[in-house]
Amino acid sequence: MLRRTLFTAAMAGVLAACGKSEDTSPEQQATDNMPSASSGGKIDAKLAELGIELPEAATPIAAYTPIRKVGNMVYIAGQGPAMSGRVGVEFSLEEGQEAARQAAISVLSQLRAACDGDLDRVVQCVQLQGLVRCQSNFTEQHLVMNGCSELLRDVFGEAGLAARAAVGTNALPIGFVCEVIASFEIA
Amino acid sequence: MERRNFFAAAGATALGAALLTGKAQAQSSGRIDTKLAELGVEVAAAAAPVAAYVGWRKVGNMVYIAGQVPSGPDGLITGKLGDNMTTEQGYQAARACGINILAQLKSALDGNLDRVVKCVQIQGLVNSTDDFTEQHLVVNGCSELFRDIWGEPGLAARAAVGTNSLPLGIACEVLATFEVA
Repeated sequence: MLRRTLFTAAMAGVLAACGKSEDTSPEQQATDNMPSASSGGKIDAKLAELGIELPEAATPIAAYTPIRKVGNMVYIAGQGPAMSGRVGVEFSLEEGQEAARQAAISVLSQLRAACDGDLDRVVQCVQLQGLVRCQSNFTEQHLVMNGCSELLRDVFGEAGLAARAAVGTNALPIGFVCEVIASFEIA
Repeated sequence: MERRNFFAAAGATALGAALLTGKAQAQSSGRIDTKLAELGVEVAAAAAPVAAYVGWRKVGNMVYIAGQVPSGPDGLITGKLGDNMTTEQGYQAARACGINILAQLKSALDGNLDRVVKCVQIQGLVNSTDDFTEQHLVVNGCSELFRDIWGEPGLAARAAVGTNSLPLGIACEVLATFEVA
């Protein structure tokens, strides 16, 4: 828990305000340029119901763009949680699922930005690839990734499920527990 | 086998047995189905997902297939290349993934594989030790199956990658996308 708090604080510093605090700082106001219309959306209502507050979309930490749009497709760069470690070593399966859920929330932040603030434009989640950091003897990557998929299903219903792949890996940037790559069809 | 029967049964229940039968009859006359018969490849009913995902998604003329596992007559093919599997065994595992991709593709195309224009992308993930470096030869098991079926359009912009672990200990996992008519 301490680890997580620390990491969250670090992320907030590096990646710009998390949007969690109640008081709105001037910087946050500056970055908070989402159309206010988004708060009236069906999906925004769903998020509120689920108690999910989307942080500002994280800015890239290397030479890439967080989103690309081609026609009605949105491709989202790999998103990681604010948790560092390996599932099956430093973290339990349940904690791994929480990490995947956090990554899904980051995906939603990017997606909202790609949809100009209106998540109701999402038609379906198309592909999800989940990379789970683990040792060779850990074989429940698919269950870890359910943390991500089930959140997207809770938000979008069946359309939130994807043609998915769950994969293990021995290492990820910044020690991320997992990384999620997603693409969506939007209207 | 038991697992596969179970999946097939689950699939039949979900999709409606009558519908499947109808599809099976309609598809037996296709050009690609003839090719499959010629190659001795039997495509089972698409396996139901084992977690929170769907077997495939369609967007316009693109079909995205979820990562497929290698299931053979004895169930899942598990193992690690460079440790307890040869490259040839890995090749067969990748071919088994390819056959499961065909099952999903068939489901996405209402049973008609003749609608495939080309295979666009293939990503093959191979459960490997650190010093195993023949992932590309393993994934050929899938790619060569598709080439045998569709000719040059069956080949894909491909990537073969090693990984230290895969779900359920499977030897490989293959993701594919296709352009369809």
